[in-house]
Amino acid sequence: MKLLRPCWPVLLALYLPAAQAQLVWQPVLTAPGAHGGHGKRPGKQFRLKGERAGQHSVVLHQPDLALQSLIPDEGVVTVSSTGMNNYHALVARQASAESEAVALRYLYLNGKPSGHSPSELLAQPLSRLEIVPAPLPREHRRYETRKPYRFEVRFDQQRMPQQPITLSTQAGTRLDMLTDEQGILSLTLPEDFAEIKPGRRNNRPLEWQLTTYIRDQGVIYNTSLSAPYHPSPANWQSYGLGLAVAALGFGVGLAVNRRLPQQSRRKSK
Amino acid sequence: MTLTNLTLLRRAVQLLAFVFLVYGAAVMGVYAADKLSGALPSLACAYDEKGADYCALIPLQHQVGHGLGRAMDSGNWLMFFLPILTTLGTFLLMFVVLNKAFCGWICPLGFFQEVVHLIGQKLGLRKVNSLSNGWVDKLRPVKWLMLGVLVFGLPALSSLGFVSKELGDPFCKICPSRIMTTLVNGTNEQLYVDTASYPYMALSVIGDFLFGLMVAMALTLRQPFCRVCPLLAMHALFRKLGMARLVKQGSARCDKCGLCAQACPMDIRELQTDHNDTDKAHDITLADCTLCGRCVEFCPDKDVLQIRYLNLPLFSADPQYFKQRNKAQKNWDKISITDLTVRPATKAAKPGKGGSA
Repeated sequence: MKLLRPCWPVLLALYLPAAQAQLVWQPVLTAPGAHGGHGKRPGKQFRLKGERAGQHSVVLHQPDLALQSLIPDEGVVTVSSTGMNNYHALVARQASAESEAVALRYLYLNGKPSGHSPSELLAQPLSRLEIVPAPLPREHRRYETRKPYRFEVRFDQQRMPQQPITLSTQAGTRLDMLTDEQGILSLTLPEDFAEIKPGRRNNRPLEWQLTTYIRDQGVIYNTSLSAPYHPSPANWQSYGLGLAVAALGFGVGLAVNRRLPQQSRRKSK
Repeated sequence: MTLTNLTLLRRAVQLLAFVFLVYGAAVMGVYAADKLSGALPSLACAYDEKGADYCALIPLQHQVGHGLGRAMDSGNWLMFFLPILTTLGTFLLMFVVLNKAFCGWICPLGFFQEVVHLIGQKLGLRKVNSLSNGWVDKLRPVKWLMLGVLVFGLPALSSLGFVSKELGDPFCKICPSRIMTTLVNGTNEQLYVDTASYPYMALSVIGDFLFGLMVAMALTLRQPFCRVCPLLAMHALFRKLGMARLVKQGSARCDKCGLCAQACPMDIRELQTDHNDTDKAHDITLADCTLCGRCVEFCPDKDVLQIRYLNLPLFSADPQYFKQRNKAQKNWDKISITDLTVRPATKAAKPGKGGSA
């Protein structure tokens, strides 16, 4: 440690640019009741956390891979319906000579069928360093605690084995992990909601984010992926009781079976 | 090529459909499965994350549950009817092609019950050949009640605010397919008692109980849940539009025979009693029929029963086929898991004695 002591400022200097350059999408909470069901909805709004002074670009990648530039209004980006159904990718990029920070977020927007698979969007390079869900949750699904998920970490479209990656949640969990030999990160979202009310609709989602960075030819690339997550229904659903009730039904079924007459529909001649 | 066993062919189709619909996402990828679900919202259970398609009943409940109240508020009825008509339209497209053969040839829950029944019989459990006429008559309206109350009624009342939002998709909450498809995918996430609210708790308890009841009863009785399934009712509503039909041109012997009714897993006694005049072929695709074809297989008289597609005979009753099929059935019935020493009979059984079709 004594030998390392003179190096602390250097290590700190190496770490800080990456930490400072972190750029993360965060949702702007809308007032209760703004949800309009499946009808006309207000656009989804997001704000960049960790944004530094300087130019940054915001691009929405549509399911058909068409690009739409978005201009923040007082730091808030509004994503309105593109008329296309399925996942879209919201990408913010802030670059300088020394660093490139990218914030990624995949959004499900409603509209007419796009005719394109989300695999096309996921295969599309959105930045040099990427965190890619493998796969994205299916339609009507969402990220939940206690469930396993997989992500690929790619640099220049190549998966990165043993790449450090950090999970941070709004509830305060921080986990430092590594991708496996195939460059895949497998993680189970922690059950860290401070208060959980029974019922799927009764809990506001919290945010999780995955961040990773890499230094390449003197440039630090720093990428984040963020999404909302919900408490597991296991908090208010009892699987043991479910099995017990099914067993009761099975028992009643066996009893009914014994009472059913073994008759034939065929008329006796 | 002569078809020697229609049931074997049907089982092969059912197995393929089961693998595709229940494990489809694992086979073809989740995104392709989602695309298929969007294009054909009419087949398997939406709660199965690895499935390749959705049952028509879930979008219908949601469209009624979300849309009716909003349409009444806004006066925009197009917003209400368009999604429902789209779902019904895609359902009908498939239905016109398959007619009620969906139930007998495709439905994963129907196949599951047949497999459970097979296991029950091979384990040597008693077999209930058929329910009494009284029970059949009592059960027949239940499917219409399920369709009217659970698929349309409660979601509509929930949308209008008369009952709680928890009753927005009540049929899915009690449907055994939700539990079966997830269990066979290795997860018990749908076999639960929900303590979030009393309505959810009641629905989840009914769903779990019904699942256990269905499995136990399927060991002994053929197709116990199919008899009350609202999809059977929905198919029945549109059965005159389908291209596939069961047709009967009765003979004088029909009154005394009854093998067709005995073979029918849905206990449709009218197969034997109706249309026994010999001058004209009649469409006998009744409300409870699943077009499984067993009645045609076990009809010993030439062309009395037929499965027709666009009025062209696809499969017809035939004495020669009946003899072979009856013999095969008797041999199959003799094989038991609990007593593997019993060998299939080598002598041909006398045709026409029925056996346990």
